[in-house]
Amino acid sequence: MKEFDVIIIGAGITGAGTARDCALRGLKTLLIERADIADGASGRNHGLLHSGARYAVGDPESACECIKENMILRKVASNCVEATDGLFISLPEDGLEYRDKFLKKCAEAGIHTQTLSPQKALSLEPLVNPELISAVKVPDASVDPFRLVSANVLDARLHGAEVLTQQEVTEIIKEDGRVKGLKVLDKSSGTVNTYYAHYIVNAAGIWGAKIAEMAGVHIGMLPAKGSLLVFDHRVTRMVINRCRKPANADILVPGDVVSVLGTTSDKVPFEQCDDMKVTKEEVDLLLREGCKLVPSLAQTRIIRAYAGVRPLVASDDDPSGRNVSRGIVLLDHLKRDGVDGFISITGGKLTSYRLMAEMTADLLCSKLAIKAKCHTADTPLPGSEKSVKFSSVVRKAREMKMDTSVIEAAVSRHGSQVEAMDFSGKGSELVCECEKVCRAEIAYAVKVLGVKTLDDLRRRTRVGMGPCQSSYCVEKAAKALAEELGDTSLSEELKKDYLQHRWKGIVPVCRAEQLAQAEYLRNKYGK
Amino acid sequence: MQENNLTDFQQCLKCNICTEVCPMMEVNPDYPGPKQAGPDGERYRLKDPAFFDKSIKYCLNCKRCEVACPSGVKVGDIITRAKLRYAHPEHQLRNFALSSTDLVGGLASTFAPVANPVLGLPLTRQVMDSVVGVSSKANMPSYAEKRFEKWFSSIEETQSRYEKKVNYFHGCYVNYNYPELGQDFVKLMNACGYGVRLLDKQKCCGVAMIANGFVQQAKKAARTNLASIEKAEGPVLTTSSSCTLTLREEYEGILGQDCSAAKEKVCLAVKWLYDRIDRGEIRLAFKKGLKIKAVYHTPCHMQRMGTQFYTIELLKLIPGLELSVLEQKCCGIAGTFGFKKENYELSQKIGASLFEDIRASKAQMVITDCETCKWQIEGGTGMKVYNPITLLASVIE
Amino acid sequence: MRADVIIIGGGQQDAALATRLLEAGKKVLLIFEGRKSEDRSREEFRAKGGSLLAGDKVCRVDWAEDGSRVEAIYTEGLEDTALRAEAYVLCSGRFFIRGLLSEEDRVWEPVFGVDVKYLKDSSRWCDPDFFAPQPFDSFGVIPSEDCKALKDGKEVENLYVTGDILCDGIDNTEELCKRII
Repeated sequence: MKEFDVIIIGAGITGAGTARDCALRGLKTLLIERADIADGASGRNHGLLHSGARYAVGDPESACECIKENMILRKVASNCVEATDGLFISLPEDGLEYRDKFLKKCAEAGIHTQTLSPQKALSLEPLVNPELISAVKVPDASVDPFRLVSANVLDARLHGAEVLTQQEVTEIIKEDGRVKGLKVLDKSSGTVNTYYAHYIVNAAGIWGAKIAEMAGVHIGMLPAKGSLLVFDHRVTRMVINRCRKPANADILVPGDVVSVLGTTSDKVPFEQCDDMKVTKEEVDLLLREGCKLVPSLAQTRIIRAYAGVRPLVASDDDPSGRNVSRGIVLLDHLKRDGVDGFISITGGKLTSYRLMAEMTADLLCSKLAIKAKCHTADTPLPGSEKSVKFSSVVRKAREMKMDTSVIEAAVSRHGSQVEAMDFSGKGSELVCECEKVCRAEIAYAVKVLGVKTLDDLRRRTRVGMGPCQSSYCVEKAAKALAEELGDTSLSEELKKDYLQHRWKGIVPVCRAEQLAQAEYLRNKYGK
Repeated sequence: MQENNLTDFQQCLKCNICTEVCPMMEVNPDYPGPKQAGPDGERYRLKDPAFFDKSIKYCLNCKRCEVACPSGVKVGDIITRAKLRYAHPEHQLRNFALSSTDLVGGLASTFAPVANPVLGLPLTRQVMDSVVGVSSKANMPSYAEKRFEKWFSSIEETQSRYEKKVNYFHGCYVNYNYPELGQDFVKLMNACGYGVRLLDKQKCCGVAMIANGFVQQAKKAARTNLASIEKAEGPVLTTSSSCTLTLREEYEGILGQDCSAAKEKVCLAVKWLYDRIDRGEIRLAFKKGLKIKAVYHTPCHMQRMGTQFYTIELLKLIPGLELSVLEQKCCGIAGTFGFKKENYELSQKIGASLFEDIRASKAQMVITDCETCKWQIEGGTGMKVYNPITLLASVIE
Repeated sequence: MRADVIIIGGGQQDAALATRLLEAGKKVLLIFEGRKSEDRSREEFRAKGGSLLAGDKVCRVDWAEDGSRVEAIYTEGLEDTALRAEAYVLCSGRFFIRGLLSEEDRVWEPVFGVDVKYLKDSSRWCDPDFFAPQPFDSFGVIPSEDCKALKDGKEVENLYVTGDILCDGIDNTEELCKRII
């Protein structure tokens, strides 16, 4: 009977990061995930690598954490991070008082700022609200959270960890009051498997409350829903924030070739966490506030809306959930609840995941009496080991008679891992044209990154994430994926599932161009 | 919200119909097509200019994609603007020579008696082919011994006897290569009771400059032309489809110049004439006993403007003219594109289907409004090709 | 320019209708934006002698003073050339071809501004099941019993509406042809 040193529940960024850290330290690790990687908050956030400036005034501890981790991830996750920088703009109604406090607090937290005149800000970002009275440049960055999770998972596996997706935890096994293992339902086969470990780490985000109950401990969690809008192209080069007390819809983030506007914060019941719908009111609010940052958003095509749930740990009675400290919550349940063998890691944010993982792995190692230091702050993730020059890639593309921008797109997504891709023959065939995803990239994703559905493929390659939301490519992509999975009969089901998935995000923004796109989609596949 | 920004790539719904009608895609697998070069590519170029791919140089700017697009995306404009913004110019000397029609035309027509025979020599063409890159096989126009402007100044006085006047933007083709068309235009206008005036100062419209990336020169030409147009009293008529599109739309859409004066005054002669006939202000009297079998080829730029309607309706008025309107296809010349050595084969492949349609029609002549289409069709079929103004001038009483 | 019938097309079957009217002896002008994949019907119409304005769109309408009839229409390509007909037929298609436009909570027909049936609350425009019929499928222009357009409930004398632009999937082709031919 196989026994692991640690089983981690949840392949979001926290679980994936923890699995990687543990694997790098030589712990025998199993990572269990009920759906696909980054299915929870890790796959439904802003894609913002905080400089910490946003928290400088209200939460200096988080601000300090953020800036340190920001600098680290720019190095070790260089392929997942785009160093866009950010602007904090002040509008006339914001006044300059907050900005002055903001500057002081950023300095205290070690966040480098540069104050710009409105003219300078407009020359850098012509579409920003021309009424701005001040702008402060900060080291915000854009991060692709799917890539980040995927790279952590890949590295964990490369260092010996086992990763299983589509496994739902049904029972936490206890013996003499100590957690010993768990039972999981394999969702594809229907079988129930049992795994044992010295320690189980609960990194299941908002669902961690349920997991905790299974272990007989209580964690008070506040599901706080946040909705976001995706615009069809990169409207600004930098992250644009409002320089005021954090509120709704005051961040616009450039993410690859789209722009993401967010976010909102509303308490929702637990039951809703698995099926969240963005409401009309949320879309209206986001647009209204967003136009104060960038007025032209009113004429910009919205391609999708989505919502995620923040795993906030209840610490006070704040109804909005926004000013709850986003501090990292690491719970040693032996100390807290008298239940040995069980640890929960929650709270925090995407930007500080590596630190959360380090803290968790440190605790595990001390409990396992293993002397192993953390190396995640200086070990590059797969894809970020070395920078790939576009020029060398261009040469390769010309040899293959490929459009150079297609290989460049693969490089921008996978960094040095692009060398594991085979662009010859069928490999050079373009599948998703909006996002420039070719067959070689799809083959790589299936072989190396554990892809079973088009939604899994989307997370790793951006297939179907463009303006047409797979109108053009879904059939081609389903066929290609089925072939790569070795069963062409899967093609129809893969396609139908993905269309249903994509539809969910189109419905809340189905007007103007996206209604025309919806009509096209339906005429092509829906009738 | 939806009705603004018609050039906007945002409105692209990825239906790919533009790709289906692209004449370059049919013959050249290296060209990714209008959707990828245009709206798709623009999203990536906005992220990083490094995503610009050289293959978009194959775009002919025929604008058949724009005509076919159900979403109103100005695909051709998006590609042309990207070329101007990101492309590194190649073959600069040759391209500059082909684009600088005033410079080259001016020199050549001054020395026409020598230039024509020399340019016609196989040896000269071979030299141009290998040294400069102008295809030795392309059908090159000859240069007129007497420029149109020179001819016009010799008859200018006769125009003062007409009370009503129109202005004429003749363009470089009429001026340096085929002044007969300009003469036909004057004849036709006079027959309608209108005198002709030339603009104060006129330069090549710049369509070739734009296509070859010489933005500054194109802007300079635009400024001169727009200033002359603004000064002119009355309409400014044209006989060239591409000149018209450039003056009225490309100056603004591509070069960012305010061309409201051109939009207001510049008008294709065929439109001007049709509108007046439709309103009963002008009546044309035709020679008796005409018997002509002709086909009409719609130049791509004419189709983009929608103005082939006027040519066709005017031609329909001619008694004894058996006119067949060809299915619209690109002839492949695309301005200077087909003259370039590296493009000649592609250019001929693109036009092949059109040439076939023309031969199969068994017509006596081809009517078309574009001079470069004329050269290409003459070269590809050996048929006689005439501007509708020329035909009209020859069949009126 | 005067024709018997001007068809403002773009919808499916626009050229089929145009050809039918042409063959019935009418002088027909067909205006449309965009091209349909593998569709030769417009080419066939032109080959039979019909007049086409391809890739063009109507940008201005001259109404009679009391709004009861259309006096003339103008297109982007032909600018100030007035296009007049005994009967105008609106057959401009749905959202994809921009025969119908939308923004939040509003759907409208952009050329003539005729009455359109739709739901005021845009949160009700879609069914969450992609494969189910969608509420927006039934949006569209409301035809009168005589196949004519309505403006604020009043019939427009010489403007007919037909094709997939109509609400509720109404097909009034036969009735329309009876009235025009």
